[in-house]
Amino acid sequence: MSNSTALPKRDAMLNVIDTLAGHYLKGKVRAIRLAVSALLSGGHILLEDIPGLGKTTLALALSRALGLSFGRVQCTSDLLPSDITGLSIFNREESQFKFIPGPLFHNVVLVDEINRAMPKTQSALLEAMEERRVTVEGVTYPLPEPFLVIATQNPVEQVGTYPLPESQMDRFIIRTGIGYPPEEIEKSIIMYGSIRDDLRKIPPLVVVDDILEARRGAREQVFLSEKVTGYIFAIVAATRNHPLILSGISTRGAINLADAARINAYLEGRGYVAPEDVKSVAVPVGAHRLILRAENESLNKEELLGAIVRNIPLPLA
Amino acid sequence: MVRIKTVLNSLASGIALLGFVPLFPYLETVPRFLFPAALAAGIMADRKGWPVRGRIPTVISLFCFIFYASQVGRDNLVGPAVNLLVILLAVRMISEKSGRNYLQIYALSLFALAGSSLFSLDALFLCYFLLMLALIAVSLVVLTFHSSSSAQSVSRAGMKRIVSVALVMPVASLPLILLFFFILPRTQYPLWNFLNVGGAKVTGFSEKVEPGSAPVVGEVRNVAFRASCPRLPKDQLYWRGIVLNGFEGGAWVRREPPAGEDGIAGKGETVRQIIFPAPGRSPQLLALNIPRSISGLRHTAGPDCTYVKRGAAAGHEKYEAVSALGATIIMKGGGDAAFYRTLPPRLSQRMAALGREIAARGRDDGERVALLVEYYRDANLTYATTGLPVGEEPLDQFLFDKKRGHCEFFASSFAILLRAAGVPARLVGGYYGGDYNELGGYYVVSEDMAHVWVEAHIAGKGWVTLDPSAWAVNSAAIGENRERRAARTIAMALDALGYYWNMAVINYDLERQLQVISSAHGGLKRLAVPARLKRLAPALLLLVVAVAGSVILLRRGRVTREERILRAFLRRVRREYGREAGPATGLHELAASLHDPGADRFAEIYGGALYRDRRLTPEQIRELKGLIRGLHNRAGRAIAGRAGTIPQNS
Repeated sequence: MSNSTALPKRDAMLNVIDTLAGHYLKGKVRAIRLAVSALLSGGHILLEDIPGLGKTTLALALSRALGLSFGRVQCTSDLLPSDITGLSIFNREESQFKFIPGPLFHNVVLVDEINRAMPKTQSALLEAMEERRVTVEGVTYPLPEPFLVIATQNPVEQVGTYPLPESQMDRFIIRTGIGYPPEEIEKSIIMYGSIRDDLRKIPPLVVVDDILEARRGAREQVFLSEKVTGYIFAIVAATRNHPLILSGISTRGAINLADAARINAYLEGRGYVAPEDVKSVAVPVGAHRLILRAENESLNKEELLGAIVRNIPLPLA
Repeated sequence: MVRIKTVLNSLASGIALLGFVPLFPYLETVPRFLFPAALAAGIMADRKGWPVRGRIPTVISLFCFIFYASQVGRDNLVGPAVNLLVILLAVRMISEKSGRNYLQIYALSLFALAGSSLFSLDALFLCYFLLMLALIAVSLVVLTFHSSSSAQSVSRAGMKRIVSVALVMPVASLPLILLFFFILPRTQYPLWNFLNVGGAKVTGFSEKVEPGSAPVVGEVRNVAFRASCPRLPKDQLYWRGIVLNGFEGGAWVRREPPAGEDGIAGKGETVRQIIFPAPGRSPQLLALNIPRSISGLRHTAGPDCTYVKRGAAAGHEKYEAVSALGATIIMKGGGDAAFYRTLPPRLSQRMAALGREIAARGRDDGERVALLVEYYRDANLTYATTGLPVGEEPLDQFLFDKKRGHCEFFASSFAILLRAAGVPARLVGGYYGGDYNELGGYYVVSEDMAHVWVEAHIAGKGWVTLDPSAWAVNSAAIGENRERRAARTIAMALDALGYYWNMAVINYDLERQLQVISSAHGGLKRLAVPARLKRLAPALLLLVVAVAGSVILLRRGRVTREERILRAFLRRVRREYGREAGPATGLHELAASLHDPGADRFAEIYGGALYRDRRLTPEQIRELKGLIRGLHNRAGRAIAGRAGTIPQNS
C-alpha cells in the first residue's frame, strides 16, 4: 500500500497549506488548497469575489510561502498587451534594443480585475497562460516554471467591464470564490488590522525544485483507474445532456477535472484517484465551464453542477 | 398525491358492495333498491362534501330495526336480519363517515357476506370472501392514517407501499384459513334453505303429471343434478326418477305398486355414475334408465326400479348408481296386470274408440304397442311448450285437434291409449338429456330437461321403455341446448368451477382426502420404472445437480468478490451506525464520517485495489473481512436508530 511518505514533497505542500491557513490567511483554507492544486496541476485559478476579501493577500502570501517570485497586474481598460508582457527599450549606451520583461515574467502573477482589461490584453494574457511563453517583436521568451496566474474578477460590478468569454473561462482550471471569513476570525482580523505587512515576513517554506518535484510526483505516481475515468466521463456526459444546460463540460474540462482530482488525491496522500477526489473538485473545476440556456441564466452554476454530481452513483465495485 | 379520505371512501364502497352483491337475490325490494341509491348518494355527498349529519340516520336505523324485528318469527329469522343488515349498511353509506363509522361499515358488510352463506354455498363466496379480506386489511391500515389526521395526503408511491404492506396480512393469514378449513366442521347445504326446505317449490320434475292444466309451461334452468359418467349418446340419456302408475282425478300419480311385484333391470350396457343432486330436491334418487343399484346413500328401492332416499336431509350429497342402458325391466315376481290397465275416471269417446280399435287389430300386446307407435308416427304431432290444449279433454284435443303438446301430453295420452287397448302401461318421470361438461367429465341436468315417458309391459319381454315424444315431428329439438356456443363454453367452465367447489370444499371429508392421498401413494409405489432408467438415475441426478450448481455459480459469478465484500461492509455500517450510504457516497467519505479507524483502513485497502484497477488479493480479503467484523459503534447504538445521511460535500 502506498502511504503518504511515498508521495514526494506531499508533507512540504501540506505544510505550506497548513501554515498559510493557520497563521496568515485564517478561514481561507479551501481557497489556498485550490490555489495550490492549480499550481501543482500546472493550471491557473480565477478568483471570483467582491473586493476586499483578501484575494491579493492570498496571492501574495502564497508566493512568499512557496518561495516564488510575484508579479502583479492591475487591469484597466487602457492596459496594453505590452504592459504585461514587457517591451524592448533602446539602450543608448549599447546602441541596441533591450527587452524589459513585464510582470508576467514571474512565477505567481496576480491579474487583478481581469474583466476590466480590454479583450486584446485579455487574449494576450490568456495566450501566455496557455503557451507559457511570450513572443515580443519576433522573439520568444519562455516564462518561468512554475507559472501560476491568479486572476480575480468582481462578479457584482459589471459597468465598464469586458466579461471573459466562455472560451477563455475554460482556460482556468479552477474558479472559486473566497467568501467571508467565519465570524470569530473576521472579528480578530478587524481587531488586529490588515496583515499586509506581516506577509513580507513569511519565510519561504519550499523551494522551486520542491514544487516541480511535487508536480512530477502527482502526475506520475497517482494512478487514475478506468473506473474513476468512467466516473469523470459520467459527470461530463451528464452536464452535456442536462436540460438546463446549453453546453456542458468540454474535453479540456474533463482533462482538467482528472488533473485536479489527481492533485486532490496527492494532497490526501493516496496513490490513486478515488471518486471522492473527483467529486470534491468537480464544482470548482467544472462549474464555470457550463453555459446555461438563455432562460436559465439566473441559475447558480455551482449549485446546478453540485446537484448533478450528487445524482451520479460512484463506482464502488 | 392521494387523499387518505378518498382512498378510505372508495375502499368502504367496495367493501359494502361485496357485502351487498351476494345477498342481492335474497333481499326484499326496498333494501334491494335502497342500498345502491344510498351508495351513489354517499359517493356524491363525499365528493361534494355534504354528508348527512346528525341524528337522522340513527332515527332511520332505529325505525327499520323495529320494523324488521316485528317480522322475525320462528320460521322467518334470517330474512329480516339480512334485510336489516343491508338497510343499516345503506344508512351508514349515506351518512357522514368518521373512523368509527368506517369500522361499522366493515363489520356490517362482513355480517352481510356471512349472511349470504346461509342462503347459498356458491363457489363465488370464496371470491367475495378473499376480496373482502384483502380490502378490509388495506382499509384498516389506511384507517390508522386517517385517525391521525383526516385531511392527510399520501404520495402515490407511499400509497403503493401501504397497500402492499397491508396485503401481507391476509396473505399471512392464509395458512390459518387452510388450517381451519381442515379442522372445522361444515355444513353441506345452505343452512337457511335447509331450514326452509318445506317452503321450497319443486319445479320441473314433479310427482304428478297433469297435462292441460296450463296453456304455457315456464322453463326454469336451475340445475337439477350433476352426474359424473362417461359421455353417452343422447338417446340413452333417460334419467329415471319416479314411476306414475295410478290416477287421482285426471292426473297421473304414484300409487303403491301391487304387493309381490319385483322387477329388475335386464341385460344392457353397464354404466356407472356418480350423481350430485342439487340441494332441496325431491327425495327421488335419479339414475340412468334403468338403474340396477344405488349405493352411498340410505334409500329404499321400489319394485319398479325406482329409489327413494330415506332420512330428511336434502343437500349436497352424492351417490353412486349402476345402470343397464337400454334394458327392459324383467319381472321376477308378481305383476298385477289389472292394476296397470286401470283407466282414468274420464276418458274421451275418441280415445276410448282408438283404444278399442287397436285392441281389436293387435293379436298380442307386442303388436298392439307397435300399432300405437305407428299411429303416433303418422299423427303429425308437434312438440311444443306454448299454445297447449286446455279444458275438459286436453288429451283428446292434443291427439285429434291441436296436435301440439309437451312430453306430458305425449306420454300421458300414449299410456292411457295402451291401457285402453289392454296393454299394461305406466309413466316414468325423470329427465332427458344433459349438457356434457368436458372440463369436469359430467352431465349437467337442469330442471327444463324434466321429461316423462312410458313403459309398457309385454309378456315375455318385461317392461319396455317407449318415449312417445320421440315421434313428434320436431323431436330433435327436445332437450336440445338453446344457448350459443361461446356463452355455453363460459357457462360450462363456471359450472365446472362450482362442481369442483362442491367436491373439494362443500363435500370435503377428511377421511376421503386421506383416502385419495393413500391411493396416490399406492399408485406411486406401483409405478414401474424401466430398468434402464434405474441404472441411468444416478447419472441423471448428477447431471441435474451439476446444472443447478453451475447456474448458482454463474449467478454468484455475476456478483464479484469485491461486490460481496462491499455489501457486507455497507450492511455492517448500516447496522452499527445506522448510516444508509447512498450510491453517490464515496467509501472514503463514508469512512471519514464514521470516525472509525477500521472503516478508514477498509476504504484504504478496498479503494487501493479497486481504483488501481486491481483485484483484491486473498490476504486483503481476509483482512477486509476481519475489519468488517471489527467495526463497532463505540459511541453507542442509541444513535444507530436515527438513520442519518452522510453530508454531501460538493
